[in-house]
Amino acid sequence: MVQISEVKGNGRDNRITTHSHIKGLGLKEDGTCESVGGGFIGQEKAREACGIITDLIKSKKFGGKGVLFAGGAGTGKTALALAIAQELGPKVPFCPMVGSEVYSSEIKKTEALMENFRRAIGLRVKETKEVYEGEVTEMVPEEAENPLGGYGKTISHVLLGLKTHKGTKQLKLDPSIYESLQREQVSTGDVIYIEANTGAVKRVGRSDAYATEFDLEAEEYVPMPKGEVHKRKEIVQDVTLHDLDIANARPQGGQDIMSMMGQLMKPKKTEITDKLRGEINKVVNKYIEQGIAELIPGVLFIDEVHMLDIECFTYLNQALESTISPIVIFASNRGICTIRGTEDIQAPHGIPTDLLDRLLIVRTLPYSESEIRSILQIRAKVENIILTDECLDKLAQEGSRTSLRYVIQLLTPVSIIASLHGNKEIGVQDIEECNDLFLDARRSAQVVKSSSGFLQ
Amino acid sequence: MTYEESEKNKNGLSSYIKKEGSSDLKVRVRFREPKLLVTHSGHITEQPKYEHLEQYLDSYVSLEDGDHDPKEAKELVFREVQLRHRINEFRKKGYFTAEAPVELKKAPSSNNIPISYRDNLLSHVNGYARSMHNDRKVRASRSRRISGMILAHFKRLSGADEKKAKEEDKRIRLLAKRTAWEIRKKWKVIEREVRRRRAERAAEAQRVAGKEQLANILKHSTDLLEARIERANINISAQTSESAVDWNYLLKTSDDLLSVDELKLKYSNPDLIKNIEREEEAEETSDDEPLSSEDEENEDEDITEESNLRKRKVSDKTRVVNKHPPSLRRSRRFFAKKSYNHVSDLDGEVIVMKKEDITDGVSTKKDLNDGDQNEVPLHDTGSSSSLSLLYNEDVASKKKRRVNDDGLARKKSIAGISEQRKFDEPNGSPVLHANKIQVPFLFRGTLREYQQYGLEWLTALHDSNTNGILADEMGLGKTIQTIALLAHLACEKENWGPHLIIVPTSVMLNWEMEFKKFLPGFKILTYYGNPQERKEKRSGWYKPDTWHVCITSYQLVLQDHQPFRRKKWQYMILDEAHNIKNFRSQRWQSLLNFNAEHRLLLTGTPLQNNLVELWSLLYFLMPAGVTQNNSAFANLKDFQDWFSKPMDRLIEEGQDMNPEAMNTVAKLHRVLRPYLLRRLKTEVEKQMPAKYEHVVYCQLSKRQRFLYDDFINRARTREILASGNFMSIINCLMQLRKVCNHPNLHEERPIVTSFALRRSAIADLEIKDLLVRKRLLHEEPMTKLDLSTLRLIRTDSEAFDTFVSDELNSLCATNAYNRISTFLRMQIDEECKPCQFKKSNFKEHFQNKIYQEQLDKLNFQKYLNESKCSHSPIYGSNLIRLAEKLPKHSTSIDYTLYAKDDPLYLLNTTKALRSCILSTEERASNMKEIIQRFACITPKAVVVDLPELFCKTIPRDLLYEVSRKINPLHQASTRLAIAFPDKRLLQYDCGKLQVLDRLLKDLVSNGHRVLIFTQMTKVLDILEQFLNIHGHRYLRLDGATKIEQRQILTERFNNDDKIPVFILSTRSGGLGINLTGADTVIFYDSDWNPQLDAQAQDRSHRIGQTRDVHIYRLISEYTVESNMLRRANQKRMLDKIVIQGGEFTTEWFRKADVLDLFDLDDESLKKVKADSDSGSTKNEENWEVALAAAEDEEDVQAAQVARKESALEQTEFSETSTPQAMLTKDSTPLSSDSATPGFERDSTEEQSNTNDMDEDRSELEEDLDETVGHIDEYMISFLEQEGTSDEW
Repeated sequence: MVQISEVKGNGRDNRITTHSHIKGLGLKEDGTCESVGGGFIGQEKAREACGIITDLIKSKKFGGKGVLFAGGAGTGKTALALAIAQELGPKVPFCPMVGSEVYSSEIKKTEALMENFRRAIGLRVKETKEVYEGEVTEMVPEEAENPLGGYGKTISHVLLGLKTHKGTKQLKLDPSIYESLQREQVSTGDVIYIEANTGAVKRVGRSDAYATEFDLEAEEYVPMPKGEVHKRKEIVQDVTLHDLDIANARPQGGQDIMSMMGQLMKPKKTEITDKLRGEINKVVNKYIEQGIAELIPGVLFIDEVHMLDIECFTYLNQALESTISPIVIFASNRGICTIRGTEDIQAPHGIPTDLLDRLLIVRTLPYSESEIRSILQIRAKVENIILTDECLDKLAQEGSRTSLRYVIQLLTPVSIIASLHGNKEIGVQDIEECNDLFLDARRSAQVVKSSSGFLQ
Repeated sequence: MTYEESEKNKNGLSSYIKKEGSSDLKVRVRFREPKLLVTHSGHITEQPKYEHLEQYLDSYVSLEDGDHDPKEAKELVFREVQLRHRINEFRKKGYFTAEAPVELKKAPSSNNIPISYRDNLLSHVNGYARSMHNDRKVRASRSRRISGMILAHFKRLSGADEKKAKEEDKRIRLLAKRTAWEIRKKWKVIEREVRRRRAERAAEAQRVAGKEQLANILKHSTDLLEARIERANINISAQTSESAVDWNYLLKTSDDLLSVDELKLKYSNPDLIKNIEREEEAEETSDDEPLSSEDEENEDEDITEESNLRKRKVSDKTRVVNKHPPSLRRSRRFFAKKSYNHVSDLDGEVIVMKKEDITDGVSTKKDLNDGDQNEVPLHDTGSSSSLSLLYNEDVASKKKRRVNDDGLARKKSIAGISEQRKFDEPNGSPVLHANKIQVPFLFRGTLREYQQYGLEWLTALHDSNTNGILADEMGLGKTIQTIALLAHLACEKENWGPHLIIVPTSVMLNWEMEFKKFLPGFKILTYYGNPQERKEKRSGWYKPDTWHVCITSYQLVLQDHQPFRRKKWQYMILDEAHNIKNFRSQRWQSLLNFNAEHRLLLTGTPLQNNLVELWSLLYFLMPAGVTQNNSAFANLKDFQDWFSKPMDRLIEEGQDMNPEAMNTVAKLHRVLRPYLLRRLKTEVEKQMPAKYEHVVYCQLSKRQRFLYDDFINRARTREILASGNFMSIINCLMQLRKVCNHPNLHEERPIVTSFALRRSAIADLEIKDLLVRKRLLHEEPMTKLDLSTLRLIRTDSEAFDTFVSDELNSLCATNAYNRISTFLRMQIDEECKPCQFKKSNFKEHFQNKIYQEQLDKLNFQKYLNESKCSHSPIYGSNLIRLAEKLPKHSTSIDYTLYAKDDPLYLLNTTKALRSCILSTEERASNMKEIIQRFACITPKAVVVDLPELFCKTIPRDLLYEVSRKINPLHQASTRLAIAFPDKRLLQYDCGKLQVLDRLLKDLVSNGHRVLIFTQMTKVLDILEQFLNIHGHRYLRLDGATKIEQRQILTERFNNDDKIPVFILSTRSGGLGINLTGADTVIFYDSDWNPQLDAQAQDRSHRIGQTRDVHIYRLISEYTVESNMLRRANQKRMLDKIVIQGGEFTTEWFRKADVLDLFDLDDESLKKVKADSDSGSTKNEENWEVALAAAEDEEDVQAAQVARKESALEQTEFSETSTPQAMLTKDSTPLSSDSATPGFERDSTEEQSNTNDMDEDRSELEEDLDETVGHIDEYMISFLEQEGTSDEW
């Protein structure tokens, strides 16, 4: 029997990340923002701006443009980006990356950037799936002399009889499908599902007409399909250009032996060349011209954009100009600093001015104490930590003094300390104790300063 | 030639033609020609070609390119015109640009020929002649025009007067016409008014007449009933003495006599005494008479007097007892007996009692109402003191109260008789009827009590020569009762038929079987088959006693109505008689004419839609001319006037029941009572296994909840709900119900497969690669390099044994080479330098060079030799072999093969060794568990032809070879290649299935067998999957199941205990099948119409069921479903109160209700609701259409099939055979007046029509008011006198 464990629907139990409470931008119908909504607190102007950007993206009027979230550390830049992703829904590709991701010993920087670019461009394709479904009534392989000689006979095609409630059909199939059928160990009386487009075959189960009470074998019985044997389904597939790149770079799916051979023959990862991409773009363009596909520019979110170097920026400049381009959202917490990869070029946010010129800049402001307090409240709820009111106040104070991130990080250790003391609720003394144990950035800097460059 | 030119040409032509035609004024000049003298042949003058000059001129037409014959010219012009047209057309099409009309250049004339003077002259002459000709023409036409103008002028002058006169005449005529029209209109108005008045009068008259007839009919039914009761009473009196003992016993049980006294005291308060009439006074005096005489008198009175009196007598007697307290104890027995007497009357005649109450309801209402106040406490206390001897009276008066009391009277139903039965059976029947009718000896079976009663009722009907309707609820054994009746007739009355039984086709065989089972003594003819078979069956048709009972279907009886009509039937029995509810159907008409002594209708639902149906049944029983009295049943119109309309009003108004309406109900009851017997299951429930209903609330699953909320919160949904468009709302509702049933119905979890690119994007690239790159780099440099020579491949010699390599090393000729080389080196003279012009020196040097060369060669050879001989492996094959403890051939197949070749192999290897290294297959099967847990992610996109591109270089046979090998990871890789949603999700996605799973496990393990009903075929599909997952065996019945298959399925289910589940669609499985094998019914979803559900329940809860039946109704919490249930329950309650059990309406959800279901509290919605409440509601037909539109195709089909089937059995309108038409016919009101709640729409339309009429009338009246005068009055009176009927 197949072991199946029930998937726990409650994602909260599984994983808590910094932004798992973000559910959206929390805007009202008229675009103005609720003070608390979608897991968001504060940053009202930024949220409204993001709301406009989301609308633009949704109405596809924002292709090939850039946005920069600028603001201090812990002011919710990443949260905003995630909220935009949530607002856009699952159909719009959203590809997050961090600036430093591009540095790798294996792939070129531009290559990594390009990959992410293409991950963020969706293609919605109308596809007509041809599906054959039914109970196998007969399966006769027709043999022929092997044209290459030797090894006796080969199978030229397979006659397959399929039956549903509506009717029966006899199909003549390619020998490669016969291989799949054999592999699936299909026999008469089984219900199978053949997808003609990919040539994939699957045995769904045994037809329940063969179900007997005393069948000891643990067969999976399924009812005979209801519709026609041959079905045409018009479906819409959402793929990204990157998916197409990969599919064209090497055989996918492992459906038949050919692809297995392919894998054997070319074991190393095929590099997706620019040439390949060019070819794929051509194909995509053809699809679009034919009206069977639609480009959906998604969102590429590059966090810590100041980590990119001048080479990347140049590449970005060019990529943003190209016809197929996603919406790029940068985030940076730097002021004026040197652009990486240059000696002495100073620029705001570490972004060259010519790129900065092309961006809409959204500013995020530091949270006020009361905002920090309510954020903490939400986080505590998400993390299942009970805080007293004084404790919240204390933490909020701490947060406004240091940073929001710091206090949020403090939550878990504090709860552990509290539980060590046997308290269910966290008290002020727990926080103080925790503050003794951990340093925030500022204090740490002070320590470093006072100790004349060395930590003792 | 340009266009203008051609125009000119045309004009020319036309003017020419004109000239030809205008020969009105002709001047003829006559002259005689002198005869010529002919002396020479040359003198003979030629006959002139043309008589006149004109003719000559006419003989040609000069066009610009010369003269032509007129015909020719015409043709030319015609051609030209055509050409023009074509050019125009082309121009229109845009072949010629607008600004530059293409001019066809004339070909340059052959100008080389010099023009001579003569030519010039001739052309000049020609031209002159032409111009002259034209001039003449122009002048002629001008003069003609002028003369015409002059003529016209004079004409005008002369005609002016005449015209004026004509116009005047016309005007006058118009005026007259108009006046006449006005007058006619006026008359029409008057006519209308007169007609209206007349109609009023006629209606008045008719009403009076109708009332009379109603009274007649009422009287008739009363008489009828009384007659029957009389007979019953006679029986009773005969039995009195026998049953006296019982009464003694009963008296003993009634212990608290004091309370009786109290009651009586209460009862005999002065108010009541006032009501006592003279007759009663007389009776009072007779109180003192002996007991026996009193009895007798009572008997007499019972027979002769109104039971109203009798009832009062009861009170009299109690009062009497009260008046003589001392004699109370003494006369206990007397009282008891009297009461008994009375009670027995009541037992036998509860009907009478009640009916009389009603009859007197109007007349003696005052009395009774007065009496009510007194009676009520009496009954209360009476029942509380459990006085058995007063009990029946209590019951009777309770009933009376019910009739008279406004509040309670609502509970009365049309089929209210059943209520009386309720009291009849448990109390009266054992006492009263025990010995009345024995079970006929031919009858092989036992009758239950109520069935026995039914048999008695039927025989009583037969005896009184009346026809009736046996309207017991489904599953109460109407068939058996009928069979028993026929048996009784045969046994007692020696009436052997022939009887005709007409049944729906589907139950024909069932009837036959029942007959064979219960009445094997009868000869049955089951009349069916194709025409030939039927003909055979008809042989011996007219001989007596060939058969006693003929069973046939509605359809066949109509087809072969001739022979059926010719035969004289004793009993004509119609099963499922609501099939003839439509009196317009051919069936009804045809059956009405059958020659039958008695008629009996069997139906489970005497009322389906409206009272008209009931009327058609009743009229069928008592058609005009058949019944002996003049009391043919009332005609339709009267019936409607009396009952239908008031009832409709009643139902529409709902709660408030005014006395008038009540009265109507009462009257209706009175009319129906003698003809109808209806028992409900609840009344005889102690004779049936119990039925328990459970409502199981199911939580929505997360996905369901999401979809549900998502759908209901969609802006579009809200819009639709606010819009109030009925169809769309129904659609929304349907969607929500689908979500509740299973989310897959609303939005299927997709089977995920990759997006397949047919052709790889790199396919073209590949070609380019081949062409460019591969050609360029065709010669690989590495192929030219022998690396092994240079010993660059270290592992090259691994196949060598170390021994071999040693030997090889020893063969190395290094020493020999060394020797030779040293020798050679010695030969070389180092110092020898090539010196010029010295021969020996040169020779030496040359020799030196040779040596040197040889030496080099030797050195190279040595090197080669060394390198070749020093091929030493790193490990060497011997070492490897030593290390290789395990056999190479470890696959199981190879092992056996190997063993065959080499017997020693078995000795040399062990299993333990073999098992250390597993073959791929073995490994795969060992790892199966683990492999199965893995799945490769479905790639988003797949390129179909890529593998071929990749494997181009691999030889095909190698591929083939590899492909035969089993790929152990195949399972894992294909698992998601077509990613079916996990099967268990089917259950986890749906709250109802979760519940059902638990429920089924429980039920099946406890040996219960289950019917699962649903409405949607798609749900059946899902249930199939679900049951398969859990391994329950099941059978399925839906609309697609053929009728003959159905019987087989039911048989199989009833007989095979191993099948625990039967899934059915409510529509197809709700009728006509007997599934008593199951004792549990689960409603997966509820139908719009609770009646359908009720029918479905009865599949298992029916006669033959031995176990208690549990009904589970799965309802999704906090959804439309729960609202639907709530509403259905409300309706059911209302239904129970207003028309108990009588299915008056199938229209359960009106528009407003539908909106109610949505649990929304928007203001806009409320408004819509209000609108729709006040506005019209859809009629049933629209409703069904809307439903059909909202439902799945299959379900609609199923419904249609079901409808078709029923239509096949049910209705056969000769005109319309399509189900659609039938539907419309079925559901449209029979006449404009018969608007039932189901057809409120129509009624409102009707209303609006009448409103229009009213408006018309009021307008008219306004008109009249305006022109109030003697003329109108006169006109009206004139018409009244003259009589309008002649004219229209």
